[in-house]
Amino acid sequence: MSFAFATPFASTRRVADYLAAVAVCWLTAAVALPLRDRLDLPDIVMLFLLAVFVVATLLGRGPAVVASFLSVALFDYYFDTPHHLLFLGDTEHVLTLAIMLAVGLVTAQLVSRAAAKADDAQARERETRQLYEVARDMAGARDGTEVLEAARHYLSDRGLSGNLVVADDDRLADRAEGHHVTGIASFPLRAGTKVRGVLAVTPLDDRIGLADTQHRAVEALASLAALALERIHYAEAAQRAELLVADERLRSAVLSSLSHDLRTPLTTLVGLADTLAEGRGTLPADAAETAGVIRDQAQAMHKLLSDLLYMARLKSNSAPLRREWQPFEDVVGSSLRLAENVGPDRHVIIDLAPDLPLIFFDAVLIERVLCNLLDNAFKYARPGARISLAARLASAYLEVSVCNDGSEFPAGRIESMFGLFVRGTNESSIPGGGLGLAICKAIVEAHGGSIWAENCVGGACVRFTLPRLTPPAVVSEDEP
Amino acid sequence: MNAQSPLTLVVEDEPQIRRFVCSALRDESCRASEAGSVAQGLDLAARERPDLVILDLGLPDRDGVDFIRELRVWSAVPVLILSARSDESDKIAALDAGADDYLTKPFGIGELRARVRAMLRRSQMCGDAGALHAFGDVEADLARHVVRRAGAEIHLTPQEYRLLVQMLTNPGRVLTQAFLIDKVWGPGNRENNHYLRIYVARLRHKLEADPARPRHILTETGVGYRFQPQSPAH
Repeated sequence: MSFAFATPFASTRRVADYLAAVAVCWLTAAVALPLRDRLDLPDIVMLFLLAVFVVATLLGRGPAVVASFLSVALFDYYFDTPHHLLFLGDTEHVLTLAIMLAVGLVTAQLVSRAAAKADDAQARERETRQLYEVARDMAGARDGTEVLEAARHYLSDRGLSGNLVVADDDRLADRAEGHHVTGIASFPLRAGTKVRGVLAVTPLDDRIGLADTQHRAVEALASLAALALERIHYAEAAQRAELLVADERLRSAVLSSLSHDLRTPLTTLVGLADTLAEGRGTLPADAAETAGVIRDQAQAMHKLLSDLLYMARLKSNSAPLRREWQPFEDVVGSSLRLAENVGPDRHVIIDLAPDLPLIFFDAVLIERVLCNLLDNAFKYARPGARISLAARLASAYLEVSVCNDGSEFPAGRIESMFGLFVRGTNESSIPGGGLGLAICKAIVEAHGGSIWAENCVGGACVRFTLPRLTPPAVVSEDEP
Repeated sequence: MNAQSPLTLVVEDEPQIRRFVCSALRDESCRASEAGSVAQGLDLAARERPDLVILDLGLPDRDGVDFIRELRVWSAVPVLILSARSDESDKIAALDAGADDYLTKPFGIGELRARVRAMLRRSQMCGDAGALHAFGDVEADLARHVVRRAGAEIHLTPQEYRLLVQMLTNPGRVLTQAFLIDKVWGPGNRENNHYLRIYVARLRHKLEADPARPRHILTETGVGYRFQPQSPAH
């Protein structure tokens, strides 16, 4: 296969070939002339045939045809008797001349066909080698730029220039296919079902279009590039995932070792202080009271620690929610047990709508929300205030509210209350780190709900929602 | 402190925690022996045959869950877990391996003593509790399949009844969700744990005075349930 570009250089070469063919014939005549009397005519015919053969082999069919005719003419003029007469009166050797011409022409044809085949094979071989090389380069490419580099190298070998648009967008491919600006051919890079980009190809010499054979070659190149881009894409994705996993593993290891290392001394502190405080009669009253305070402070520190760890886990996604379908009543009961155990004067009024559906939530975390809200309600309520916990369905949500009828939220602070380390009353003596509501917000939002505070008649209220979703089917008794 | 007083084995690697745990045990008139590792703990458990084991899950040589598995091969002694980890899956693994109850660190002395008292009392009422059970205003006769509340018979479906039986026969123990599902619905139904939640809620509505504030069928959030025959004394 030869390239379709006919350059001025190529045409000069063709003229030179013809001149060479003529020269070879004359040279043959010149060599044979001194031997004319000593050689038989058939020998001289053979010499000329040899010349035609050589021309056909070296210079191709056109020059060989010219050489055939010229050889016949030269033979007839110089060697056939009578000499120096062209095609006159020599009926004797008409057949010789005719056969000589025929053999010359057939030789020219055969040799040039063989040469074309050889050329073709060579071109194919070069094509294959180039494709192989570009495939090898692309297999080693680490990013889109290196793929483009390899593609450009390949294209420039065949007089083309290319550009690569890498994009994970199927619309791009549709646009590319129907889009042939003069002189620019676009090839979508399709790997599997996904289009990874577009290869735009322009001939370096813009007067010439893209030949069919080149079209096929560039298509092959495009599919190689697509495969390379796909491989790079997946390699990068795998690497990112691996990094992420390692990152999360580290974070989770740090959190759990922090949790363990800080809880152990706190456990000792709480336990020993409690032993002293509970050791009735063994300590003076004020010492026992001091021990009790130490215990309570250590407990408060533990609560702060767990709040911080919850927050870190929620923010880092290292602990996914363990959501399960369950009645909301279940978590209300356990939260109340925790909240009311703190003091005998704590009583909560419960108002759950009848027949609430199953809700999909992480019970441990929602229990944390309810405990924090109840704790807050007790902390900021005046003594004897009524605290209530209510839950009802509101279209797509379960809405839960914890209210006290004591103090209202300070006006203007309601919006900022859910930030980290914001407290209801500045400089107050009420213990708490200001993490409680921020944790609640993080947990509720992780569940796809929202949380807000408002002042209602004579008191403060925090409400949050949990999405209702569709609960799983419950088969009746006999076939669970 | 005589030889008749119950013997408790405390397996915990932190000496200061051992110290106040043992002190609380002595206040409950228990003898205490101490171990700092799983190996030492198993050795002591085999030699001294304690009446109660208090086990920390984060021990230096091996996992506390291994301790429970090995202990359960030859002993039914009640095991109380102390877990410093907030991750519920550790507790569940320990409970499923055969532990009876857990305390999350840090815990108060009063809480510890109450648990120890309850566990020792249960293990002393050894074995058969008989067919008659009572809690709150509910009486259950497991021989006749009859449940009464304030004298009136309560209708329970077969599965509600099976669930109640599991609770009645394991008083005070923390029962993991997996345990209850296996017992009531059979293994292979663990994905359907919403059934368990629904049936527990139904039992509460039938048997508890205030289902939103249960006194006997208690939720151990993230772990399972606990049946408490007596209301917790305060």
